[in-house]
Amino acid sequence: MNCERTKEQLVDYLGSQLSASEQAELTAHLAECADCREELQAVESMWQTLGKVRVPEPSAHIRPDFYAMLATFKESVDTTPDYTLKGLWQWWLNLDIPRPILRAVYSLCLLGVGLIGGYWFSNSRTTGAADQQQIAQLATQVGNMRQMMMLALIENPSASERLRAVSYTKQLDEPTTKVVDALLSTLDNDPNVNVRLATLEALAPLAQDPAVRQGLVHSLARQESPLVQTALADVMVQLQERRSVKPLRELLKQENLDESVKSKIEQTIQTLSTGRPAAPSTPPRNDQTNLTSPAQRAAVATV
Amino acid sequence: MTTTSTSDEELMAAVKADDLDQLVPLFERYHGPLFNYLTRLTNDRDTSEDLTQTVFERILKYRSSYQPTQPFKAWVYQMARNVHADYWQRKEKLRAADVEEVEKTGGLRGAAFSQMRISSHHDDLHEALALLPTPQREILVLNRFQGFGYEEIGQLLGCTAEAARVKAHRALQALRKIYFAN
Repeated sequence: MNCERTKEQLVDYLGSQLSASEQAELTAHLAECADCREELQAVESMWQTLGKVRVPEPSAHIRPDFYAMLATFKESVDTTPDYTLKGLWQWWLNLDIPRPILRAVYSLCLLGVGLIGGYWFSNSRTTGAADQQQIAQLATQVGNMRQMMMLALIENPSASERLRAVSYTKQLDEPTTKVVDALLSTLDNDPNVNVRLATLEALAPLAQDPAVRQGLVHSLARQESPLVQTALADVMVQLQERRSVKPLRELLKQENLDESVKSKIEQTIQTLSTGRPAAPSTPPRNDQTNLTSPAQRAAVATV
Repeated sequence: MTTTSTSDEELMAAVKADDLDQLVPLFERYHGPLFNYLTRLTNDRDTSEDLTQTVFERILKYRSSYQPTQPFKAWVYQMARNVHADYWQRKEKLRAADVEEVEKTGGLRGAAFSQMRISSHHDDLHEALALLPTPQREILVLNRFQGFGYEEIGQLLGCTAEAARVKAHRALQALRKIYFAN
């Protein structure tokens, strides 16, 4: 055994950490090597001194500090629940809830889902309100287009085109004064009887407008076609327009008046001036105008 | 101590299973040696007390990482080493930030040296120990004061038992040199 190795083992020898054979070998070497014995002494004294080094003692407050730390940590463990999936599941399993309550909660949840779903669905529908507004806008634009088309078409030389124009006005929700004027002038001036009749038909529903009423009353004097005259008279009765009595009387004075028209007008005048039950309070020429059958009327008219 | 009947490993297994009160006997057994070990490493009592506290805090925090098959002693000293290493790094950063501070402490150390000569024999050795490089000091402390075998030291320091033995030997030689140089 060499001295180098011995020196390395001295510490273990002192700490008695050598195996029996190593120890024997070492003591054998020490017996014959004075150098190593000296070394052993030095190391030993060092080792002993090292053993006597004052062991630092922790101060008194390390213990209370530890207990405080432990308490704080316990508290934080208690108050911070385990938010991992596993922890939540454990928590859920540990909950002791009676079954009926669980079922009730479950059904409440389903109900809630249904309500929320329904609410969401209806909400998404009302968001369509914007779309509806757009549609309304488009509809008014289409209406304006129709109006323009109507105004253009009503000047058309073809009677069928003019008829179409008049029929367009029925589709307008609220015809403007321009349209009404156009219709009234058509009623007065159109050469075609059918067009004028259709115009009258279109104007009749608008008669709550005073301008339209006025126009209709004025139109009475201008009509020459018996068909239109009769139709106008009917409208006057419908509207109970008393102002029409005067122009109607004017009409009666025309010489070439159709007989059936004459009787119709007389009947109208009577109805208008007396109210519905046509009592002849101011009969123009005869008292029989309340007869209903056309044959009788014709007979009376010829008298 | 009344709690010696239960082994460290059993106690730590209980702590791991959230019976946190079982840390108390472990604290009673280990806070002294740990404080001692850390004081040797840092040469600062107050810091060592803080670090000892930190070790037990980490035991609680990382209790789930403890494997009941491994010796508690090795595990807790590993933790103490890490705590010290973290502390050392923090301190290094602070030092790097202030060079003047380093020079001042250098001056203070000179004053401490002159003071050392007057102080008692054991304190002499204490100071000599403090002058050893930290790794050597650590290995001596583990070997002489904490009762670690070379096998355990090797595990803790990440080397073989033989290497640990050689290191311990060299550390003792170095200490002798410093001690007798004065």
